Amino acid sequence: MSVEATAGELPGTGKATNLQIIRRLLTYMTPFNAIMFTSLTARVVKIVAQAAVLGIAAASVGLYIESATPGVVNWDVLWRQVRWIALAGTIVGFASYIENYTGHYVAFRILAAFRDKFYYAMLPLAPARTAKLQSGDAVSRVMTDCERVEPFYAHTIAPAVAAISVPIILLAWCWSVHPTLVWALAPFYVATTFVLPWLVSKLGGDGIRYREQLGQVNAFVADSIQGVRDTVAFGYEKRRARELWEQGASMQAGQEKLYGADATQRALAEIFITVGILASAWVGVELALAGQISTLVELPAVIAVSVVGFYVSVGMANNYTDFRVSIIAARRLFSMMDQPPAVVDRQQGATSTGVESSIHFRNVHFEYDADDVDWSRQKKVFDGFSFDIVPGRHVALVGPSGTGKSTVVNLLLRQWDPQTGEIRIGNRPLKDFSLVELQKFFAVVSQRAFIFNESIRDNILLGRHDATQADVEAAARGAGLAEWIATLPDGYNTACGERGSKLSGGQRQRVAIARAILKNAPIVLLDEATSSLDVETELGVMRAIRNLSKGRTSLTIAHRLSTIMDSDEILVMLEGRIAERGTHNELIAKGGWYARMFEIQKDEVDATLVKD
Amino acid sequence: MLGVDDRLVTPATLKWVKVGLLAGLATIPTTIVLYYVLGLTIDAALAGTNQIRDWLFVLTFLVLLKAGLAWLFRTGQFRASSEAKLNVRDQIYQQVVKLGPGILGKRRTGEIANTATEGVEYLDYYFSVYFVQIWVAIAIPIFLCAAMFSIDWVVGLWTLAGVPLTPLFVGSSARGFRRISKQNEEVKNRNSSQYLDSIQGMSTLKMFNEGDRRGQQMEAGNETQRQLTMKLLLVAQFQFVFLELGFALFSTAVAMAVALYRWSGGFMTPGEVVAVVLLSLEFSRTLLLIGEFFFAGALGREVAAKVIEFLNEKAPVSAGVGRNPGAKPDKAVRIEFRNVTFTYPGADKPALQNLSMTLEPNETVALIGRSGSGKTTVTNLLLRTLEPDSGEILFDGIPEKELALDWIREQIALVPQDPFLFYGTIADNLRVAKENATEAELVAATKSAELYDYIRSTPDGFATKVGDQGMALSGGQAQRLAIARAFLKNAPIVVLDEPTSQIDVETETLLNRALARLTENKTVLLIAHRLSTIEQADRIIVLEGGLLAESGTRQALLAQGGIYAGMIRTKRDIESQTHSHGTAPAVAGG
Repeated sequence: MSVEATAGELPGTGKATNLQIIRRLLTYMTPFNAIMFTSLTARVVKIVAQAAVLGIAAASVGLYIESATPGVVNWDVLWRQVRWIALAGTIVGFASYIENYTGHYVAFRILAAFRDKFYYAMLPLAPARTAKLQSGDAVSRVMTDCERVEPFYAHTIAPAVAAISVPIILLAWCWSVHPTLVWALAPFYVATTFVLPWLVSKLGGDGIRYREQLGQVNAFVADSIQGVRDTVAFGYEKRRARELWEQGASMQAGQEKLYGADATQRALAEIFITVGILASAWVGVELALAGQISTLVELPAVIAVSVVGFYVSVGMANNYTDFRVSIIAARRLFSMMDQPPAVVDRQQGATSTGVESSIHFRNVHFEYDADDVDWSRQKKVFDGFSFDIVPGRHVALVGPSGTGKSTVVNLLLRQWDPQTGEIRIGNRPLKDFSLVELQKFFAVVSQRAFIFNESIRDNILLGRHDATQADVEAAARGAGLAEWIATLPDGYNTACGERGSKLSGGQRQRVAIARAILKNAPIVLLDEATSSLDVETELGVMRAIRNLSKGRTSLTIAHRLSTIMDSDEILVMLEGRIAERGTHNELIAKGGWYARMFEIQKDEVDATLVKD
Repeated sequence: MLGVDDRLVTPATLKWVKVGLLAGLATIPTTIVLYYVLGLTIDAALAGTNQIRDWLFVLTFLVLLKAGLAWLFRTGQFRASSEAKLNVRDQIYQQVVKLGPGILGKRRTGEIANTATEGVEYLDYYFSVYFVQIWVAIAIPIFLCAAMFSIDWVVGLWTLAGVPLTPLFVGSSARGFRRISKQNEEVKNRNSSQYLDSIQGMSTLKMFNEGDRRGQQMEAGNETQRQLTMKLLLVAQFQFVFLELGFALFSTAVAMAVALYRWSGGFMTPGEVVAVVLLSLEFSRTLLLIGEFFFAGALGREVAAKVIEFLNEKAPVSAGVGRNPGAKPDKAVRIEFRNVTFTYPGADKPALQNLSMTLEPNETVALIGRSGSGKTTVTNLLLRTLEPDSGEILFDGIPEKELALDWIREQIALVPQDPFLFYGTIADNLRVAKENATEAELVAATKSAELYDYIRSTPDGFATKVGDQGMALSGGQAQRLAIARAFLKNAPIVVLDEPTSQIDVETETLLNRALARLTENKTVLLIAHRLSTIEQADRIIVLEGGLLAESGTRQALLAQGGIYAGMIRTKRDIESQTHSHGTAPAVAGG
């Protein structure tokens, strides 16, 4: 895989322009348009009212002084002006309340909505295109990316809208004071609102290079920490630490540009703001000297209002970093969401009921895509692969790892489609069924059954969500779980923990078996269902599996040959084809791969066999 | 100065924090001067002159000064945080090495790796925003009050009365926020863990046709959470109305009214009144700054606390400088465990208890026992990534505490069951064992490890990328790479964790040949899983619950009729059991 890929960039959406990504992000916001609009309006009202507070206070100077005689306090004017400020302040308060409230609403909803969008987008892609999401780290990276998108809605749109609309409103007010003010101030507003962010983006680039570097450094750090045993054992730690430091330092150098641009932007913003304020004062003074506006009423108000305006107008530039990070994160997520699914589903299809539960592979040619390195080391898996399973038979599939045993299951479930050849259930090609209908044929128990962080009951109910408690208990009994569950204080409500961490390996597999029993599907697929268990546990789980397979067609993929010796037929797969087939005794007599492997495995001692 | 653990702050960080802080503080007077000048301009306008034109030169300087300070402020923040992150990553790694694999399980290294990558990024805010901006925010009202006082002491006094507003505001909104976030935390965590679960278990959901239902469930969960939160916020955020109004009244309105009152008394010029009004705006800027660091700081503080906690963990090995009995001796080494007891921190019972055993030079000892019996602990003690609580380990009769750590580790070549491959080339991964190994040495080592033929078959040879983001090696290939590492190291002691079941017929022969070569003329500790290898060992040691249960030659143990003998018996029993099962016709249902 290339270095770019490690930074999480996939081809495809990578080419979308920032504008396209922004537009797409905005379409996601459509359901919240009304509330977003309210929030934006409240923000604009709030800032304009803040400008009014300061403007009124400044204008009060003139209003008071012109109506008062020195030495006598004119309480009437003072109180009137304070009341005006209080009114404007109240508007600020309410607008701020509305802005905060609706802002929270949007922030809450958008993040959740965005995650849901991602979930639904990934659903048709699983598992062929979601190999990366199998690792916890990768998922947490995705979650972080989702969170990084949120500031786009929460902290980018509002400041941007305010930075554009508030100056326009304030300029409109200036126009009413004296048109010349507008001509003097408008260029500065344009500079802070538009030129500044543009300049920053030119100076700092889009930051992609930095994100890539960060990804590399982080991968290096994670690698160093996770490989600590081998590092220490070979005295590699000093070298590794040095390299780690060097990588960090070189990334630091790469950041300079980005940081430099940000610092420069702050400096430029300061210049634009200060010069803009001074310019408003300059023009105001000239107008006052020319007698066009009043020196003590309008001049102070103009200065005060422009101060507020300029601080708002840099909002766009100040949030540019957040915005940039959001876009990069969104681009990454979109590129994952936009992958083409590995199989094309059909809306309407045959129903699964009444179809004979036989399996046929007819001259199947299959290879994984180049992108699918996570699934198989060998690209070409099947080159004209055929076999049949008669309904009700128990068939085992064995062979060295990497020969495509699991691919048989993947193809049956239509997680991938073969390039040529046909796979049938009964007499119907798989493609006759919709994917939903197809899943009804199979009950699958895989090597590491996925256990959700929910109760035992909920995990079993996955098999059939409307099953009664009696059904669940029957399934648990069949899987050999019932006695253990009876000893638990919370019984079926016991939480399974993160990825089933509160259950032992054997219990996890049993929960998966209970699910499969509850599903009551005609074909049972066991993909290394007991391989990760120790021999002792495996023997117990095998009994549960026999319960499950009873009266159904079953296909068992196994590593330990002792677990499949009693199959009706054993198929030995070597390099994508069936090399040997027969019963255990026939294969032993044949003296081929199976017989040799059986000999090797006989040699294995599982430490857990040591009994007290 | 920063109130942070010193280990998180390097001199470079401190320097840049100071730079940022000074620049931030210096910005305040420049702003005050600007507003005061604007006030004076109005007085001048009343007198009929445009003072800005007259003071153009000074004002240009002020503008440039402000710009320069803003640049420094930002640069200081950035540099401080980037220096800090570099240092923290390094510190975490050093601590990982110090704690070693004995203490850090697989699960924990994953967690720590997360803290050292994603977590460290949050320190960015911690150092840049929190440390600098909190002081600037505190200084602003002080500077402002001072400025007000110097303009007019009565105005100054009144402004002083408004200063507590800021902490009040922050305090009450923080309290409100905390209450809500606490109420929400549980629901939120539940929702997001459900989401994580759903993403990772997506294939399972699909197999059971539960994908859409699950999605709807999550949407409903989110909606419930939102409604709950919004109901709370509806009330909690009403304070904004009063607080914003309070600010308008107490800072701006009071400043204006008092200043005008003082003007009436003849104590202030109109321009000064305007300056006071403009300055009152700066009070509210404090709020903006505080808002920024309040949330960012909280996140950073959490990570910092986590890092500190990790750095505070006590290393299991005393780092005393021991002696080095000379370069790698060409002869095998004798190892002795004398009454060794070890308990993992936090565990209630010892992992090893009173273990005494000896590995004679050139002897191969098989260590067997069920998982959790203490086999891995023995390896870790031998490598001195753990140190015994009592008892001692001797190398050629010298207690390990008197020996240099580096020397001990030089004596041992570890061939683990699941070798770790770093992301990099095959050559990089081999050179982990020997920094300047020549190409010829790599070839020799991989030939001995029976890996060379495979490497030659790849298009890039030794430059083939492996590891997490490279090409995956099969279990057997990875194991042979580990053996090649051991060849490069050429240490007198070999600790070999034998691979378990996932070995193929073809790999088996290669692996056996490679191992036979590696262990020749070495002292070997073999954590064994196969009868044939166990039988080849000179001696067998059986561990049981941290205790040495049996020790002796194979014959002796069989005669003794203990655990080992029982194991062989059970093995035969199971075999015959499954055999009979296989022939039983009843099982083939259907």
